[in-house]
Amino acid sequence: MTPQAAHHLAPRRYEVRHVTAYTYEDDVTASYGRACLRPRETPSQRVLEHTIEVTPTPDVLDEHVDVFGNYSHYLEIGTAHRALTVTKRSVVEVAYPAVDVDALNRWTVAEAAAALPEDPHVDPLERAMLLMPSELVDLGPEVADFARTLAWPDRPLGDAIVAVTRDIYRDFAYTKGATTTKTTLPELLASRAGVCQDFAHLAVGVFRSVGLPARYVSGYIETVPPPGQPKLAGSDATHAWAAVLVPGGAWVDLDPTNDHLADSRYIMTAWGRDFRDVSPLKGVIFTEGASSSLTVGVDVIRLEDQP
Amino acid sequence: MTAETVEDASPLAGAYAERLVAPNPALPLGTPRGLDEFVAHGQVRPSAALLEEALTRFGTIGLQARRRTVERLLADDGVTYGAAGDPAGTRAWQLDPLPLVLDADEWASLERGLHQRARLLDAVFRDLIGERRLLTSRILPAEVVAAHPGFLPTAHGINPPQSRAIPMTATDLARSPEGWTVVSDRTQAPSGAGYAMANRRIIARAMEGIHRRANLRRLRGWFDLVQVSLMDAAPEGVKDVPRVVLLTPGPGSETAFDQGMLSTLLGHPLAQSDDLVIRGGRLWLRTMGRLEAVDVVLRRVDANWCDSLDLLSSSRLGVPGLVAAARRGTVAVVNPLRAAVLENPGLLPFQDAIARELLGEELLLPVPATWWCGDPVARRHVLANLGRLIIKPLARSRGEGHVLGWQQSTDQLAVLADRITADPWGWVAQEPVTTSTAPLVTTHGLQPRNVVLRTFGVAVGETYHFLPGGLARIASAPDAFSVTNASGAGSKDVWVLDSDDAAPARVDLAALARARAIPAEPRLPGLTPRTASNLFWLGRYAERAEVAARLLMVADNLVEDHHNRTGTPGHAAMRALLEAISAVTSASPGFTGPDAEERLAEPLPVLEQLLVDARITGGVAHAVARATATALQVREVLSLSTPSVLSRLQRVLAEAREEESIPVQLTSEGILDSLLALAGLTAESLVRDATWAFLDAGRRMERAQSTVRIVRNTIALTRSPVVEGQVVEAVLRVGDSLITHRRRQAAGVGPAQPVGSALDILLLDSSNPRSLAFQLDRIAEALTHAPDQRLADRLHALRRRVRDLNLTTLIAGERLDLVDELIALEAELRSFSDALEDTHFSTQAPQSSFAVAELDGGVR
Repeated sequence: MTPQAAHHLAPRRYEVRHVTAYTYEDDVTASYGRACLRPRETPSQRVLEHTIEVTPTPDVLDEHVDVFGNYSHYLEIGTAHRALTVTKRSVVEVAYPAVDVDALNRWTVAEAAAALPEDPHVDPLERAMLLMPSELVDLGPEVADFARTLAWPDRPLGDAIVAVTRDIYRDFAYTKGATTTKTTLPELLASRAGVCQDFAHLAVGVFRSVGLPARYVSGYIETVPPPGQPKLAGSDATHAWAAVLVPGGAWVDLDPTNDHLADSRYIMTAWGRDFRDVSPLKGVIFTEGASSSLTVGVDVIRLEDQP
Repeated sequence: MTAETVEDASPLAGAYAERLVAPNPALPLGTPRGLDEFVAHGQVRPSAALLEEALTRFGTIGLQARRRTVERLLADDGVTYGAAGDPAGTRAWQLDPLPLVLDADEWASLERGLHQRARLLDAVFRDLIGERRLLTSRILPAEVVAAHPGFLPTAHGINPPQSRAIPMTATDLARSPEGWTVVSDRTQAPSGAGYAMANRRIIARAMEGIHRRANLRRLRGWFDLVQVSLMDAAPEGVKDVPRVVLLTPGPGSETAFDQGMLSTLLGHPLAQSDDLVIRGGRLWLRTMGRLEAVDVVLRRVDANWCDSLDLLSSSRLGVPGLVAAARRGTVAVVNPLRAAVLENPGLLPFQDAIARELLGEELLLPVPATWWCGDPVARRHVLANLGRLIIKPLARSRGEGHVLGWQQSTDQLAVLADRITADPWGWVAQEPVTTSTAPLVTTHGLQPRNVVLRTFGVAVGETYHFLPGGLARIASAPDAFSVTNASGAGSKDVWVLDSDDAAPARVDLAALARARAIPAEPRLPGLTPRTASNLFWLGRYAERAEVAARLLMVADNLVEDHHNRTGTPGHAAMRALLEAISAVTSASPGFTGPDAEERLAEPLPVLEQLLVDARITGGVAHAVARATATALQVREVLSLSTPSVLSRLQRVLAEAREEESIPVQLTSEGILDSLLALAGLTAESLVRDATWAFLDAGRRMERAQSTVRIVRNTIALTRSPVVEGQVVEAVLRVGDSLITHRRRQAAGVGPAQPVGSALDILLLDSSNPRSLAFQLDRIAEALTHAPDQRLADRLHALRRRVRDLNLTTLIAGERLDLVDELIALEAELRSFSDALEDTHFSTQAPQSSFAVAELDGGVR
C-alpha cells in the first residue's frame, strides 16, 4: 500500500461543484427525489459554505439529519417538466490526520472485534447497523472466505487494514461498466472487476465479516491532470471508499481503488451501510415516457487562499 | 350454573371427552395433552354450560345443520380469505359453529396482562426511536434491533403524534397449563378484528337460541374506540374533523375482507396506491376531479412497501414521499412505519429485564422460553436442542415461517444448523407451548384441535382497550401444531361472558363525541377514480347478465315451441332470435358463422352452456362472475346486503350445474330475480350520490348499448309480415315491454304498424324504463353527481339525435337507413362511454425509480 504522504496531510480548502441533470423524453408529471449532497462536519472536515439548487423550482425542498448523521434532502416537483437539474456547491476545509498503522497493530483483528462491543466510546446501535449484512454487502460464505485471506483473526489490525487496501487494488481491475448499482459481492468476487463503489463495498464486507463495523463513505477526491495539461471543467467525479471502526471509537478511512488510506484530498459527503443509504441523488418519477438521459459534472477546485 | 359430569353430559360431549384421553397428536411426541377449552377434569367447564345445553338440544343431526347454516351465511356475507394471486386462491372463511367461551373473571385477568403487554411494547418502541436506553445500558443487544427488517433506518426521525406511539396492538396467545401465554405480538398492521366482527354476526344468527340467552360483551363499541384513536392521531393543527383513509394493498390481498369490514365499520374509504398522491409535502386522496387532504393513514400495507422513494423502491403498493410527509408531520401513519420492530421474536429473551427497566414491573403474561442465537451461549443451547425447539427467523417473510424442530429429518436439522451458524443474529429458537384444544364440529362429531387466540387492543389517551374476546383460530388437521390461516385453519367466535358485578366499561364520552363529530365543511364521499370505475363496471356486468338471461329465456321458450317445426313462421322467428343472441353477446359457441346450422338444429345444449359456463365471454355465468369480482373490489361502499344477493346468484348457477339437464327457464328466472334484487338495492338502499351515480350510469350505459344492438339485429331487418310479428313479440319480451305494446296496439295509441310501435317503445319512449331514451335521461341525471361540461354536451347531443329519429320514414322499405342509424348510434354510445371513462377513471402515470450511481467514481 502506498503510505500517506506528508504533503497530502496538510490542511487545504476546496470548492466542490456537482451538477446532476436529467432530461426526459416525455413529460414527467411528478418527481420525488432524495439527495445526499450536503457534506457533513467531521473531526477532519469543516464546511464553510453550502448550497443546493434545483430546477424547476421544487414545491418542497426539505432537509433532515438521517440515522447516520448525514444531511438528507427531500425534493418534490408536482408540475410537468422535461428536465431536472440539481446543483450543489460547497466550500470545505480538510485536514486529515496521519494514521498510525503500527499503533493499530497493538490489537489483532479478533481482539479488536471483541473489544468494540464493550467500548464506551462506541454507540451500540451504530456499531450493530454497520456490522450486519446490508442489501449490497452480502456476508455469505464467498465473502467470508475472501475475508479470511486478508484479515484472519490473529492478524494484527493495522496489517489487515493495509492488506485490504492493497490487495483489492492489486487483484481487481478498474473497469467502468463492469458492474451496476445492484451488483452483489459474490458477483464482484467472481468477475474481479468494478469501480470505486464496488471496491468500497467489498472492503466493508471484509471487515464486517470478521466482526469489525465498517461503513461506506461517499464523497469526492481531488484529481490532478497529467503534467502540462490543464484541468478540464466537469472532469472530476464522485468517489466512494470504506472506513473501519477501531478500538477507542476512531474510524480509519481507506481507499482500495487507489491503494492508500484517506488524506486531505478526500472530501466526505455522507456515510452509511452501503451505497443505498447515501446515493447522491435518487428518486421516483411519474411519466408515460420510457427513457431519460443523465449527465453528471463534478469539479473539485483547490482554493489557493489557504487558511 | 351447575357443572355436569361427563357421565350425565350429552352423547356429543361424552364422545368428545373420551377423545381427550389419547395424547394430542399435534404436540411433540411424548408431550402430555394440555388443557381443553370445553372439558376440564372430566367435566364440561362451567363457562361452556350453554354450549353443552345447545349440544343436548341439537344432537348430531342438528349440529351438522348448524354447520351448514354457518357455511351458507359465510357465503351470503361474502367472508373470504386468501390472496387472489395465490395458488389456493380466494377461499371461503372457515368458522366453527361452537364459540370459544371465556368467563368474566378469566377475561378480566387476561385483559390486565394484555394491557401491561401493550404498555410494554409502546415503551420499547418509544425507547428505540428515542433515547435508546435499552441499547446503551446493554439490556438489549443492539444487533437484535439492527438485524430486524422492521427497524427501517430510512424512516428514522418520525415523531409519533399520540401519547401512545403504538395505537393498535394484536397479540397471539395460546393457553398452556401455566395459563395464557404470548406466542407473538402483531404490531405491523394487525389484521383480524373485522373477521371477529363477521364471525359474531354469523354466530348470532346461526346459534340464535343460545346467543340470545348468553349475557355477552358486545364488540361494536371497540370499533368506536378505534375511531377515537384515529381522530386523536391526526397531526396538530388539523382544525376540522380529520380525514382518515385505510391504505390497502388492494382487493387481491389475503385479508381483503377484513379490510373492507373495517372500512365499513369505521366509515373511512379504502385507498390503494393509485388513489393517493403526495403534493406539497402532504398526502391527498384523488377523488372525483379534485384532491382531498388526508390527515391519518390506517395502513394495512407492510411498512417497507409504503413508499418507493425511501423504502422498497420496487413497491407499487405505497405512495412515494409518504415517509417525508410523515416526517414533516403533515400526516400520521397508524401504526407507525417502524412498529414492526416490535414483532421481533429476538426481543423475547430480554423482555423480563426490559419490563423491569422501562415499566418497573414483572410481566403478567408469560412468553415461551426463547433464545436469540446472536448470543454465543444461547446459540450453543439452541444447536444442542434443535430437534425439540421451534426455530424462527427474526424476520417473518413470505414463504419462510418457523420450523418445528421435532418434525425435521437429521439432514434438515443439519442444514438449519449451518444457516444459524452463518447468520446467528437472524434466528431465535423457542420451547413449544403445550397449546390447548377446543372442539371442532366435523362430519365425525366433535374433534379436539389446537386453538389459539388473537386479541386486539387500541389506545385512547394513555389507556389500551381490548376487543372483548377476539378471534380464535382452530387447526383443521388433528396433527397440526401451528394454527395459521395460511395452513388452512378455521376460526371460532369468542364469547366473553359479562358478569353482573363487572365494572361498567370505562368509556370516555367526550372522546366518543369526537369520534362521531361532523365535519364543518360538508364532504362528498371520497370516491376515487378506481372505485368509480369498479362501480360503473359492476353496473355494466350486472346488466349484461340480465340482458343475456332475458335473451336466453325468450329463446329457450321459442325453441321449446318451434324447434321441430321447420318451415313455420315460428321456427323462422326462433332462428332470428338465436342469431341475434350471437350478434348481441358475441358469445362463442354461437348461432352464426361456421357450423351455425348444426347448432341451430340442436340449440338447447348451446343455450345451456351460455347460461352456466363461466368461461364463455358474453354468457350469463361469465357476466355474473365478473359482476361478483367487481363488487368484491368495492364492497365497502355497497349495501351490506349486496354479498348475499351475489352469493344467491352464484348459488342459482351452481345448483343448475348439478342438474343432469339444465332447466334454462327456471335458472334464468332465478338469475333475473337476484339481479332484480341487486337493482332494487341500488335503487332503494343507496343515497343519490356519486357512488349510486356511477353504478347506475354503468347499468344504463350497458342497457342503452344492448337495446340498440338487439333492435338492429332483430326488428331492423325486414322479414315476411307473419315472421316479423313473432320476432317483434319476442324482442318486446326480451325488453319486458310486450304488455305495453299490446295495450297500446289495442287502444290505437302510437304507431299503427307493430314494428313502429315496438321501435317507439324500445327507443323513443322516455317513460319506458327499458327504452334507449330513458337510459340517456338517467345517465344525464347520474352525471350531475360528477359534473363535466364536455360530457354533458355530448350526452345532450346524443339525446337530441334519438328524439329526432323519424320512425315512419326509417321503417319504410328495406330499412337500410334504420340499420345505418342504429350502427351510428351504437358507435356514438361506445365513444361516449370511452370519454366518460377517460374523464372520471383516469389513473396516474406509471412510476419508475432512478438512482445516480458512483460508477464513474475515483479514476485511478
